[in-house]
Amino acid sequence: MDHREALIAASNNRANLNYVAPGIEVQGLSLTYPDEPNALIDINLSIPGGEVTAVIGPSGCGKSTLLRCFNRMNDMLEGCQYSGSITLGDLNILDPMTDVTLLRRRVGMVFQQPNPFPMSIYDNVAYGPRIGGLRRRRDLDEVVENALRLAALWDEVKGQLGKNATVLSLGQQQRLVIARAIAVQPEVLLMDEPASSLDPISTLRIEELIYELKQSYTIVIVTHNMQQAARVSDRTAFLNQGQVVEYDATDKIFTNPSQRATEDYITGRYG
Amino acid sequence: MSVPRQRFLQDFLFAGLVRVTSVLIGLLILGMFIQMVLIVRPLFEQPSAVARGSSAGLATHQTESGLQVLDDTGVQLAVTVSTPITLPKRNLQLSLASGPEGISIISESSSATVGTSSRRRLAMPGDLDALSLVTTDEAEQQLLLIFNSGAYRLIKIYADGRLQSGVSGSLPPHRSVLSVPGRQSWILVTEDTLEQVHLRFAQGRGELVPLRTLAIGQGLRHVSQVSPSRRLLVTTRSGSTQLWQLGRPEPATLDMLGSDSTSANWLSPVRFRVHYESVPARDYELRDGVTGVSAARLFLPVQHEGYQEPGYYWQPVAASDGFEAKLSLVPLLIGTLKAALVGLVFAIPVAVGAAVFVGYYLPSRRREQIKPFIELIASFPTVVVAGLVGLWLAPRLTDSLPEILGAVLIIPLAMMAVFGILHRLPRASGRIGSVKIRPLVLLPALVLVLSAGAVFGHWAEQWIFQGSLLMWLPTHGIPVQQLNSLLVGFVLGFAIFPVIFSLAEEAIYEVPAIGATGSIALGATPWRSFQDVVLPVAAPGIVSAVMLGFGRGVGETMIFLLLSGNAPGSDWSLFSGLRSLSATLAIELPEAAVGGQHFQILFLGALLLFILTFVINTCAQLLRQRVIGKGRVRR
Amino acid sequence: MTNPDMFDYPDLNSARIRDEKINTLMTAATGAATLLAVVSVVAFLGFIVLLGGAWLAEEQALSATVGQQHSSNFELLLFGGRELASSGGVLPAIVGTVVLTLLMAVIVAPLGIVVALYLTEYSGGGWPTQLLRIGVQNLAAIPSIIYGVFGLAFFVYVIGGRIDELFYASNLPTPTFGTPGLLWASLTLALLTLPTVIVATEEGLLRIPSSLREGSRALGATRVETIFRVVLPAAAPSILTGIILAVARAAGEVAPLMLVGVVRYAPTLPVSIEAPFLQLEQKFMHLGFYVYDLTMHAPGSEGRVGIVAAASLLLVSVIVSLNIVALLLRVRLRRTYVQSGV
Repeated sequence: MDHREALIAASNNRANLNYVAPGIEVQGLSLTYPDEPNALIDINLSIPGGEVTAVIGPSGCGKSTLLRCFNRMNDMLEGCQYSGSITLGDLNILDPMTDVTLLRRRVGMVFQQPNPFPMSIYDNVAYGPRIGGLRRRRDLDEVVENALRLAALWDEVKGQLGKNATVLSLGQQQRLVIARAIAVQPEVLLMDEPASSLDPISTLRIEELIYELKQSYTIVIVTHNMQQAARVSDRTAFLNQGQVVEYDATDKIFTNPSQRATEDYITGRYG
Repeated sequence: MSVPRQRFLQDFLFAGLVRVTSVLIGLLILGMFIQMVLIVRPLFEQPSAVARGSSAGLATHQTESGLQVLDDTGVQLAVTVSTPITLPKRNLQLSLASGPEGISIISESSSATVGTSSRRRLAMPGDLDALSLVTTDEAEQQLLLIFNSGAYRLIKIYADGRLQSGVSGSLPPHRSVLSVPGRQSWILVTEDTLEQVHLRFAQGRGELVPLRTLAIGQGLRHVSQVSPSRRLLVTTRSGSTQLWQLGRPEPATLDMLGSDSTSANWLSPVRFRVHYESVPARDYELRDGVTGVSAARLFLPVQHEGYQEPGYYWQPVAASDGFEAKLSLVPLLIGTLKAALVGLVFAIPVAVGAAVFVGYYLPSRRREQIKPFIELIASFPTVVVAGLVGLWLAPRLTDSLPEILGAVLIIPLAMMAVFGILHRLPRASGRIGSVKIRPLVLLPALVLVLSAGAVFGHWAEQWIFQGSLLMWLPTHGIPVQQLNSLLVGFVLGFAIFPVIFSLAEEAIYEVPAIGATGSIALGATPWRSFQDVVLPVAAPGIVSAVMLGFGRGVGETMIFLLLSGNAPGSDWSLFSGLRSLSATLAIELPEAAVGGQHFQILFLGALLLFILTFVINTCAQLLRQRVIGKGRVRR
Repeated sequence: MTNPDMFDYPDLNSARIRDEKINTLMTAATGAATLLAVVSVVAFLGFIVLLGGAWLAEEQALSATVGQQHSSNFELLLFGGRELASSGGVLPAIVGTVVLTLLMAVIVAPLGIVVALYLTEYSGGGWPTQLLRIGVQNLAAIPSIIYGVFGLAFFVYVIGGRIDELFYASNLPTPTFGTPGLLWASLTLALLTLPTVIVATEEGLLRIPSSLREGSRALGATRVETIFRVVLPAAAPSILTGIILAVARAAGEVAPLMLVGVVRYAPTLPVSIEAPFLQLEQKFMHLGFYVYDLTMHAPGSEGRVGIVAAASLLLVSVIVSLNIVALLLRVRLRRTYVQSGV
């Protein structure tokens, strides 16, 4: 079985078989920066596979930092220290010997600002598979088309794949970035406020997309938009000052939170 | 109500002041360029003359017309020589006489200190009356006899006055000979052309060979003597007057002189008198400062008098009276470009490498510590750098060149190895993309590596270059000078690398990090992200930085002055010295006569330098603006 | 099955391993370049300090031989001795350098500020402004020797020559101002450092929020009052930074001075305590030129390295400290604005 077959098998798995993406187990995670010794304190979360989990909280509470632990993007910051463990399936994410390059293929990420690379639409989507060693044009064509179809962008861009990605609208750029992330067939998709720089219509399309994707991917989304969390997520974690205040089914959090702080935040009393 | 009015006036006046000052500064900048152009322009203008009054009473001097024989000072020489020729450089007197064998030459050496004199005599066949020229060369080592028939003979003069018959040969038959100042070339006047011949030495043997033919076009009526600035006036049969500047292929026709002139003669280097058939003689003066140097003379190979073959030479100031000025700007341009290119070769790897590391790999906090430190070199006065290198480093460099070359060559290899190990270490503790700097570990390693390199260089010298590189190079046709292009380039590289580093780093750092982050999040290594995402955006900025660095190198002066040896050469060898445009300006401009040809050519050099840096700078700015434009689209 | 088995393929692994190798190599290479850059700066500074310092610390290295009485090499450097090329020592050169750069600063500061004011406060941004901006940008890239050439041709021969014709006709043909001198040198350097001051001032002016100007105008202040009371005081640190950088640059320039007035030895100082205090038409000595001259012409190579290094140490320490002051000013400035949220 070669790379192409693997990719196709993976997408077939997701489409036809009862494939469920693995979940993430966070146990006793603490994280310190030189500037901020208590960035995250003793986080325990069990993120189920194949569902959408939202992380909410006031700005500076550590929700983005938590998200970046899942694909070890915090490594790029100087002086960052972890303790505790995060496991994805059978992989210990925080193990120093874990190959972060491989990890990042299993855990894709979408950022707040659409960040298409300065190259064509096609090359953007083909980027991940290419650095993974996929070279044959026909295979790449197929992977690119599948990813763009999955990201609901294919019909809009199929005639202009050779155009520079920067000419797309912001909403399209963000869906392109999602297509780029799923082109490498990750298991987990991290989204860091994916709609915060978009207009309402584009936001709606992203939310629809998240709903479409959640069957094949475990999705963790950070958002400051309460309604969005309520609309798209199955479970919600509320973070405050580096600690998990409450983590439960979304319905429960939004209708009947067990903590006073959660209720204050959701009803807009602070944050 | 007077207060508001006063305030209004104040406001108005200050606004006026600001505007006027700014406009004046703008004009001053424009003026820099325009002034240079104005000073340089006369170089390329056709010479022309202005009338300075007629000398009616002198019409009888028309009898001057006809061809003459002159000695090198322009004084008519009696063909039957009885007055001796004095050779001040050799302390000798020569006289010619008709003898039974033909011509006898008698040399008389008079030693003032001893008070004795000795006579020597050389006899040779020939007719004294058929001689058209008797002269010596510039060094007074050869006596040259030219006969009307075209035969010539060179006679070697020894220090003690002994004469020895040397090379003889034949030239075209002619009516008379004109001497060109400098006693290296002569002009044979035939019926209707002028043939310039020059004395050329090959393997110590002189010979007289044709240099160029001045094509008069129409018939020749009268030729003036050659002026100290190597011009001659030719009157044609049709009565027009041509002004020839030796070295220029074309004459300038002086139409303002009228078309019935019979002869023209110099009164001073710029004044001359023209005689006419019908009207009285008139005096003219060449227009001020107009020198009429052709572009070919400045940029193409020129055959100079006494030189083996055409070439590029810069020797604008006469070493002695009447010496032919050599004005090719090519050696200066080659010197400048050669050193600047070598400088780039040294500077680019360090500057761009450091720019990538500091602007991309290093965390921001570290960057803010290191960047200003490296940029500090940019503020060092280059005179200090060049001075210390010239006094201290250069002599040591030549002594231990192979050791140093070995150390320099091994540095990048070894450092890459050291960093490779260091880069492995932090990865094991869970970090990628950020590298810690450990100077305490690195410095001893550096010292070790340098010593190893020096030893390696020493061995290499023993094995490959048979014991000494400096002996080996010249024997293989590469002359080595202590102040050479490699040294200038090295120091120039040191001076320009902070410029390139600073700008290239800025270009890399300004690329939004979010792009590289996205690529890393897809599992790309930091370098791959850099190469695929950052570099395409930053590349124009980096190229522009390199260009600006090149511009800086081209215009640098003190390093060239102190380290290049300042000998103009037109080869691209790395082991020979050079002379740059900038150093030439610094050395020669204070001594050049204001408004003279030398002055103007130096300004042409300055203008070239100005245009060169201006073009480089403008291209670099345009490239940078493209980067900024791209950045905007992305945001 | 939790992992869809896509990470075990050899082609993928080989691509990844190759990428990792290249990454390591490039990190190492660029890191090595950075280290080399830093080491070269340290080495050069250390070289000057060691060589110069060692010579200064030496007792009577040169003077003992000729019987001159100097207690230390430092005094010898300052006041000179017969052994040195310029018999005056370095003191007149220091005075010349200081007078020259101060005069330059006095000329360039108002000009630079005025042009920056025009570019930010007065111009409408039309083509004349663009042209002026391009001109200033290009001015910064012109080699310094070209300024010398221009200074000689324009300031000395054109303006100086005219001044002589008008005011010093009795001295002609001996030129008074029509020959290189202090005034022309400082004007040339002022033109050379003009872009530095303009760019720094403009940066400072642009950093001031327009609300500050609008606030002042809304209170009824005229434009000039706004500029002098609000804008310029707020931009003062930037302007100061620009002037310091200009002085640091000017103090190290030698090439243009060689055309417009520096000499190996000037019999008198250009300043005096008696009127007219400042001899604008005089030729002067300069520390940088002193270093050049010693390197190029001084006889006897022994001891030359020491004194050149000592003079260089003097020059470099002044220039480096000026640059550090400017750097600190700039850092403080940036912090202030970051804190105030602008």
